Amino acid sequence: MSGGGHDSLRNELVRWIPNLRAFALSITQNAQHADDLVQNTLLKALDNLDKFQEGTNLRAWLFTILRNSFFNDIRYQKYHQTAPIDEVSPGSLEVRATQEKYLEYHDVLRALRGLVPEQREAIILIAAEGLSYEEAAAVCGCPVGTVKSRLSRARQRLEEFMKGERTPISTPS
Amino acid sequence: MNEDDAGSPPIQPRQEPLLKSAPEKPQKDKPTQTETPVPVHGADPEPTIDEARLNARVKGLYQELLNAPIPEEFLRLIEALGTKERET
Repeated sequence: MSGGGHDSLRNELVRWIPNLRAFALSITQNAQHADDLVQNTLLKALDNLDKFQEGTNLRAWLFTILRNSFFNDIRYQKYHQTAPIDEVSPGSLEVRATQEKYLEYHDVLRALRGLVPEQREAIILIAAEGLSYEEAAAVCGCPVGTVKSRLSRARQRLEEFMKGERTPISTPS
Repeated sequence: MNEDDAGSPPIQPRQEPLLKSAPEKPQKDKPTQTETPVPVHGADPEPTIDEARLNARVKGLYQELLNAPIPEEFLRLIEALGTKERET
């Protein structure tokens, strides 16, 4: 690939950083882990730019690298999955959110924590990131039917959680 | 179609099952998995959160996360790797 091609791909990489970070925060629920994952993803992507086929889905490629790294980290218990929820939001959520919105986001974060990682990634990729079932299946390395089933269970559990206990949580001062 | 066929009735596929089994009991009270629960007003103070509302909440959170500023270190990392590549 030409240097110009690499430059444009690099610009594309920068464009997807916010999405990678949001996805990483959503699935890890841990700001430090999320940033490490994004950094590793960028390094791996830059190292393997030659392997990326131009014209294919860069976002899906990046997300695949990130989620594979995440599941490797889980497998080797590199990070504690039970990090306090407050590790995610104060530094990551915009302060401009109203207190009501802030509480709502916290509820969603807490609800997401109640899901297994595979369900969490399914709902984030499809409901939030807007990937198609096929794209999400490619990212997760599983059949489309599996993604649909995970999404369905995720929605069911989130709904149960949100209808159930909604313990007030402290807001940052 | 020729004229001989015009008057004969069309062949119907077999309607009856080969083995007779007990008739299925009606399952009026058993909701299917695809059914959306209907909120019962007055019985449950919390409204049922439907799929669209759930998606909206997840999207709202995600949008906030998307709006978070990109750490400078990521941009520096990409810039540094780009410079290094051009030098080699």
